Amino acid sequence: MTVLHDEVNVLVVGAGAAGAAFTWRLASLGVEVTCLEQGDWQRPESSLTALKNWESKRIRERSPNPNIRRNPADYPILDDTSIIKPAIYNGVGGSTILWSAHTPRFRPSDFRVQSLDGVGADWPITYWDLAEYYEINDEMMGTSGLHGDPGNPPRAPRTTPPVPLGIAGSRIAEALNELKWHWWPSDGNILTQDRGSRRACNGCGPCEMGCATGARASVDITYWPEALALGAELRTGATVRRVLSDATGKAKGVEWIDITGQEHVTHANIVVMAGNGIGTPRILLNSASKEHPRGLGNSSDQLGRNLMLHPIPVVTGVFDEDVESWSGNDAFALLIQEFYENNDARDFKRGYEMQVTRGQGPLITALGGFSLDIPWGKDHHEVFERYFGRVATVAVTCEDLPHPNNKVTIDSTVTDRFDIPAARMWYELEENSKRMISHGVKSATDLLRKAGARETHAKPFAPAAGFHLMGTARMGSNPEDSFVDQACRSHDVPNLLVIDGSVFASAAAVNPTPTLQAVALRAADLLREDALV
Amino acid sequence: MSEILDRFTNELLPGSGHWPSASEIQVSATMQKFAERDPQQQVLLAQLLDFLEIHSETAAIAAELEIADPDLFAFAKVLAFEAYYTSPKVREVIAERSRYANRPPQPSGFQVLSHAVTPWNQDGILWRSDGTERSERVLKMQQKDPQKTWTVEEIRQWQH
Repeated sequence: MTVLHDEVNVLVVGAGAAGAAFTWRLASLGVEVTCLEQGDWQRPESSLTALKNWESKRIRERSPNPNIRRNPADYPILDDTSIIKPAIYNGVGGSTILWSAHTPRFRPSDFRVQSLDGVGADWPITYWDLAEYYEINDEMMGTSGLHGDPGNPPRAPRTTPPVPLGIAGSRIAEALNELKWHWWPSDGNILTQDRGSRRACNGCGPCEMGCATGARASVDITYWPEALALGAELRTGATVRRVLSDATGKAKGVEWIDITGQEHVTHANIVVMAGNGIGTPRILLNSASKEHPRGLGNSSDQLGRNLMLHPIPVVTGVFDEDVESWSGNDAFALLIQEFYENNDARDFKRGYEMQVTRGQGPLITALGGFSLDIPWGKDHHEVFERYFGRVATVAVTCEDLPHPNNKVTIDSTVTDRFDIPAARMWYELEENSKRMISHGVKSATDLLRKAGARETHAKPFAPAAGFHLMGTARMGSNPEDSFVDQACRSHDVPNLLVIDGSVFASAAAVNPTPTLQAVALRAADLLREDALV
Repeated sequence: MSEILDRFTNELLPGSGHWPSASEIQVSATMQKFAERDPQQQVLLAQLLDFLEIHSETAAIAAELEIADPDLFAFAKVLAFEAYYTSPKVREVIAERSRYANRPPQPSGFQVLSHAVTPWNQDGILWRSDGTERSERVLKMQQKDPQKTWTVEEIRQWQH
């Protein structure tokens, strides 16, 4: 078959949260930028949550696990070597298509964990280098919340007021006031008032299925329309096989396949990886060459290592009254950072945040929801009635520390539809995480009891919650123990950038998306400032 | 074939008070219809039926499967629950016995009942300095005026 060749200036791989932000920023600076995305634009979301069988859709076609969902654009991720399973989406918008849009920021200490607490690795940048970019991103995505949180550095007023606490959330907030634990209404990329063509959230519940009103942001409706209007190019159905390098070791473009099976080579001055913490190392490891035998830019052997996922124990409280827990955006209402910072009096390093989530619809409740155990058989209906609509869940996001054996590798025994080797996840809980989980479960249980829950049910970690994928091409000053520098450029391959969660040197204990978007925006500015494009 | 599947699903989801049994609302037929969506599910359903036929003399066949083949049991349970809980009849029962509206989440959404609660910690600054001069400077400013409304332009200055 004839291979089709073309040439572009900056080539971005992946149209998710980071790829969209980076592309928009570069395009707004007048740079010619092209993005390849293996998936497609999404069909109108309203067709799913308006269906009578919406819960069937949720556990099948909208499963966050690509191994269950098996869309044509999904690639296999072998996960029998990982206790936490992958949760990603492939398409324009990436995993923001099915995210819950909870958007807390890293704290300043999160960037200095080695210097301050003697664990993990420092970033070569600080919170203050990203503060401006967090604000730009909040504006682009549209952010509900309340400024003034004493638990975080100041931020500008939010786009709209925060999402409502809900009945159970209000009770928990009152309990937090009694306990005198830090809490604040969560920041989220969910609008509570109309903004342009996006309507206010109507509290329908399952944000992860896609948002019919456009209240919940995803980058296909925020960054991408703006980027395309500025002249950026987005090619969908473009599956990248590998990044090509020349005899000097520099990246010279990518090899990709379109949905008809046609092979392409797109030459580029700059190649930018934004394929998430699994997809990016998969492609770069698959890009090994004579000059880069361990994978492109991988002389440090750090590529794929230090996978951090956030172990998330969950505790569900059951209330006597019907708290209508099926109403409202389902994943967050308020944020608790009482146990966030390191405390040497505890038996673990670093800390965790807790967020109050709500309940689920009937089918997912019957299947156990976040952490319930509803028996099948003669007691099933009685227990279901006792729980349905009467629960609130506290999810505990634990900071994960980097470990070289928690990693992403490639496994050529399984391939995708274009014979590209699969990714394999390797992940086990470290002792520090186990101790942190125990502490978090106790805190969440105490809180729910204080709020009036008559019973609580805990799970030590949510096995399906592999949605925060970090660290597999980490940022650092030392080329021997990191993959990219402070500008997201490969230490080995100067015209190769990585801008997604792979570059995180630490995981913090909050959702990573606003931070990875801020990192991507900054990387675009630095590329321009240094006159590399 | 469907008799043994009826028996199995009735063990999972027996009738009780207001709640229909699985066989009353043809869960087994719905399971077979659902499985047609996906070749992998068809294979698993065939395995399930084989198991049920082979163990048809067993009194507690669901418990038998749960012990003998947990993965196949998990598949069968999810498919049976999916068929049961997406049934209009069951959704009606849920709506009658809770405050849940018997309709999809969209287009109407749901009103989220709440009452306002003010965080107790309005003034004390709780984040930790990273040891940089910028951190110390911002901490001091925030401590001096915790309720100040910051502009993006002011925040931009922290970069330098």
